[in-house]
Amino acid sequence: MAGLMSSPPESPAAPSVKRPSATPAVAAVVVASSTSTVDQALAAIGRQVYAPVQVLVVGKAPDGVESVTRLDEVAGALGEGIRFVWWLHGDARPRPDALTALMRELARNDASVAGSKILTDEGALESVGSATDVFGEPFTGLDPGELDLEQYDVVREVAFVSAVSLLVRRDLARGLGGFDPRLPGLAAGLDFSQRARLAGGRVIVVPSSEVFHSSPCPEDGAGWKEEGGRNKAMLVAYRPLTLGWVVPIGALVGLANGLGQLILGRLRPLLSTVFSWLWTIGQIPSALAIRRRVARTRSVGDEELFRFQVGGSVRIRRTLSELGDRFNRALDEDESGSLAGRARFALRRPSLAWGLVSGLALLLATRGIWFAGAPQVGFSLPPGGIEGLAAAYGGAPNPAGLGGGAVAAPLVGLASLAAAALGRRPILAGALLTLAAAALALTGMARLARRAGSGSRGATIAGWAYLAGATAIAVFATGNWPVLLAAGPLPWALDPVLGTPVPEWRRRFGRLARAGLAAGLTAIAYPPLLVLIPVVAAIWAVAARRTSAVVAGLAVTSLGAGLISPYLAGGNLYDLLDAGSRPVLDDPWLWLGSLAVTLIASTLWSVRSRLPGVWLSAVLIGFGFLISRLSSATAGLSTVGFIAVALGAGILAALAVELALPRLKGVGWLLAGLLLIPAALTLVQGRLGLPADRWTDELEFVSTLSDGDRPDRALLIGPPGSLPGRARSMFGFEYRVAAGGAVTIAQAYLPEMTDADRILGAVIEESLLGAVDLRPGQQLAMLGIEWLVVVPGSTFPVENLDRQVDLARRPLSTELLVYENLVEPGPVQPTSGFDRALRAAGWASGALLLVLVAASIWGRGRPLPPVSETASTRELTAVS
Amino acid sequence: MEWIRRASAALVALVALGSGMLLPQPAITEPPELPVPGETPYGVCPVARAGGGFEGRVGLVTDSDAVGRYSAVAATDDTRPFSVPAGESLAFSVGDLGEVGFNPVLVESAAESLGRVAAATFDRAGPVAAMARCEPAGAGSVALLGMATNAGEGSTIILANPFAAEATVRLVGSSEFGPDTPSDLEAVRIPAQSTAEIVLDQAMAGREHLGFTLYPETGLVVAGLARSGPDTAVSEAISGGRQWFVSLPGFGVDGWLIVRSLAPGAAEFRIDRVDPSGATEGVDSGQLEPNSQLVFHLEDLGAGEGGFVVNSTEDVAVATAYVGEELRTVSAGTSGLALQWLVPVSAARDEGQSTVWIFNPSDNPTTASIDILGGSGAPEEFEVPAGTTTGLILDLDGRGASISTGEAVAVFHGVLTGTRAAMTPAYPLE
Repeated sequence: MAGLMSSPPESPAAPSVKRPSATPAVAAVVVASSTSTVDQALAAIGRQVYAPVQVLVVGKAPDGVESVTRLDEVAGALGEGIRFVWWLHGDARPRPDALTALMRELARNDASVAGSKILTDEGALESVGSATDVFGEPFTGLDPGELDLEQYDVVREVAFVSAVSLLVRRDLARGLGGFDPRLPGLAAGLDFSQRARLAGGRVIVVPSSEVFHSSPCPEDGAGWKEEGGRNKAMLVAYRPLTLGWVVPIGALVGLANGLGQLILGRLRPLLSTVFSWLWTIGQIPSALAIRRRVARTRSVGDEELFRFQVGGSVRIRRTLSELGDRFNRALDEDESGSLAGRARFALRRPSLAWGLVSGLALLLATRGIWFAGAPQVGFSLPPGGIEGLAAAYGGAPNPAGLGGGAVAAPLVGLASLAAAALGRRPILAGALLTLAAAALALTGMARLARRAGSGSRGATIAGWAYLAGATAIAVFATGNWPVLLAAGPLPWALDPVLGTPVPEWRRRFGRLARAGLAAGLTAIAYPPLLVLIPVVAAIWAVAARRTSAVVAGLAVTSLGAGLISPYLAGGNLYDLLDAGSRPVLDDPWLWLGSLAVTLIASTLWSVRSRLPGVWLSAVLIGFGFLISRLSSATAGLSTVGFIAVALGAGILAALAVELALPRLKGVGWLLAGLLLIPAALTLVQGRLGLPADRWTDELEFVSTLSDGDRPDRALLIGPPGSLPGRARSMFGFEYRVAAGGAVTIAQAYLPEMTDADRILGAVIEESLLGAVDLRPGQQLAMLGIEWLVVVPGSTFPVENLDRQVDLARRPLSTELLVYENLVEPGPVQPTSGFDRALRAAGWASGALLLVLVAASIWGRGRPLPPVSETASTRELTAVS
Repeated sequence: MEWIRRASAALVALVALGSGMLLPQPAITEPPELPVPGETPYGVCPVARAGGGFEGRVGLVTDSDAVGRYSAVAATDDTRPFSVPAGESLAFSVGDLGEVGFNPVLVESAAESLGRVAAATFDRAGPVAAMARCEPAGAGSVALLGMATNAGEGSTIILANPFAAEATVRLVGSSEFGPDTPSDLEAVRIPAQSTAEIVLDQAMAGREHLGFTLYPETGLVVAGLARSGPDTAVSEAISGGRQWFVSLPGFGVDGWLIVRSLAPGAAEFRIDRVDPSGATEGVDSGQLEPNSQLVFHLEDLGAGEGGFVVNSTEDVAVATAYVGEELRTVSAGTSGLALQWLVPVSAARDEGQSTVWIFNPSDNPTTASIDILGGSGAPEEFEVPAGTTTGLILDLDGRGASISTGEAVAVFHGVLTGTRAAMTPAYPLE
């Protein structure tokens, strides 16, 4: 209880002791700030047991007190016989014995610089000397507001001491040139301490010298300036060899930290880093001048500085720690416990370890996408231009259409927006959307499993059993990329459905808004999946006897549907359900057998609190599979059924891990492991289950060889399932029109059938198949088609193409048969846009999106403070 | 109760899973049959000729109203439309499409055309006349028969590719010396929309009876041949068949019957002579190896006023070649009989005598009704005795004709220009 035992400096408790005449003379130099007076500091100096023989104020001083205006005038103003200089901030209030302690320990330890223990007015520790990392970032080891309990009261060497109260030999101070007046408070102390150490001096902290200090200190500079000051201190102190790697790595560390902080929603650290380096560049001439002075006094190498530094980057560790805590909170939502407690255990939580392992696994499972982008096959197609957003929400035409009106699928808008945000990089946008969806699926499913009753251990594998289970992979294997994107936010949309209602209305709204956003993303990517939200809500209401789940489910579904209102009002949902291939389980018995055994074990040996979760997974698995197998089910309905099975499998895997079998603990993991076998195969495959690429660059010739004034359209013909996006079927093969050199997601879904489409069908049937004339190219040209591309392997008789005069075979692809239309294509009638009412619906969706974003931010409630930087880093240190 | 509640979850799921597994899966529906390409909507006249003294003409006839376009094979984008009503015929000059020697012509029917279009070429240079049919490209092998390169004779193969795809063909030759193929004919490339002329005079000089089988390797071509000497003879390539009818026009010169195998294996054949008495007598038979041909002197076969019928167990091609002092004529046989025939082209009055030869292989006489297309008169009727080839000189004057008979017959048409003649099969209507 040092703070309580300590008496304030104003108290008359300190006895006055005469200083022996043989003791060294000390001058107290008080650095005044522009915002506070130095009266209290001067009074405290006056009460010192070891009385300074000279008191000098730098800056504005009361009448009768000797003063100078600038720091560099101090050396000349010190009196003869002064051997030590005691630097004090103008807002510091040292205890009466502070100088005594400094003098005593300085002499006892043969040190050159001694710093005091700095306390706030509340008795909390502000500084007891600091270590730094190699970049000069202080590492105090203190919790914010940590009280002084004399826990650090040991005289020891440190990297630097606070400039609030610092005693230094006069000859050393003269040799070093004093403090750098261009540096802010903390950086100035660091810089001076480092120069003193390089000159062979020892820098110690003397905890028995207690100094109270107002916080925040007016001497402290802005964050960017302190950071710049630390950079300058590096430039001054380190030898060129060290600077050769410290400076670039320091810059990178600052950048990485800034980006990490950006993830945490803070822009300032990134800007601060940028400004600090700009400021540092401006300080180079000054730094070089000081380096020359340091060179004259340097007696030790950089190694002496390294002795008092911690490894790695303090800032990076702090940011990682904070990210980890944020991650833990997202998964576990264990918001109870103290901040220090959460920080202490943050690193030991399985969720964090799982996060790291899972992140690595995700990188492994998507390595093919990283290297080559998402495969272009089926509905896995790159985004188009920003006009896709207009096509989905504003009524722009579909470039692959033949005149029919259509509302583009909402995913077209999202993907286009992503590509535009990334500077028209469609491949990168596609890859990032895929990875983001996968990450959302893994984290969201872990969270959902916790809601369903799983412990944190089980939750660690739920995401993989969901995302990379056999049924989900069977869906992705059809090239149904939109479902992959929809599967990501889906578990997040179910969060308020399975979660316990939050008592606070604001947080309840926030949670609902976030779930609505997630449901909206699900609906945007693949609208049919939205139906799973009310279905899960209904099952959960029965299983958990919580009717509020139905209300939450309907609310979330409504909000999600609101984000795709133009599509719901004018789109063709049946067309979407009918698009693509029906997913098929290659070897259903193995997967279903594993599910059945796990289900039986879970129902028999789960603790009662987890039974609702088991019920939920059982119904999802059973009826999801049943629906997917209905012979009348479209590809879309089968897909929804398979994703329902995947959801159930994820929850089941999580619950199976924690079976109540104390003597057979491994059984649960074994069963869960069975459900994770497909995930292992997905890791090996490297494309997250998506099929191999088929169309990347294959149609590039369409745009590169086409005359700029002519439409660049191609008629694609191939076996069922081979063409990109939606295709029409005829005589056992499929066909569609593609525009441009790459089929984008904007063209994936075909507009409604028009007369032109019927003419195209007739041209194929009569001219290409029936060979009623020798000039099919002339017919195709009337539809604006310049190229005919045939994927080998279909029932389409390519030999018919040998018997015509206006489609010339071109050797442009090794995989495809490419024919150029020798007849100049005519003008193209683009797909018409949609009407004003649907455009209004688009605006309404946009407005709802803004409302949901605002509500989700507002509804977060009072944010928790970040995990203590010092506590977590200390934890790291302890672990190391 | 607890156990029931617990077990019910698994039970529900297992029942649903089991039901799902037992559900019949949607049957794989067979796609509808692909439309079978109908009548080939075009014909290529490979030996159409203009320039070098020749004035070639292409004649078109149809069984119903027909519209379409024609163009030079080497310039299919430069088309000329045509319209031929039923009962009419049309002829156009090859020179209108360019005078470049052999200038193969593509004749196309439009998709909306109602009638079949039959076409034939008539190449004339003074008394020299030659006729050949215009044919579509076949996917299988075809034969080029009746060529010679000995004693002042010359032969040229014309390969026409009007299509947008490049074609490659393999030619396998045989002569009286046996298998006889120059290596450079084993793979002949014909670029899209182009023509290749293969002159055999030098490389294969000294053959009296030269024939080739043409195998399309990639793409499609239409082939023809031209034999030159004191007279010129042309012929289209002949597709395979198992029964052939050969008329005997009675030119009064040496004639040969050529039978060539188009089968991958050995083909048994028999030649029957049809007499005016109605009797059919086998005069020769044998076996043909792949890519081989047999040449029979018509006199040795006892040629008279009737004709010959060739039957085989595999696909063969049959043609006749007549060689006189000035006359050269090569004509394919007909691979079937019909009751109605179309004659697409004929000579004008000042070009020679338009002639039709009707071979009636049956043992019943019949009447032939000949309708001059575009003519004002009523159809003329002629008696065609049984077992004979009846030659009829008609005043067609460059027009086409339609011939109907009571019995199935084989019809050939041509022109007589004094000491020279030309002959080619007419088009049968099914």
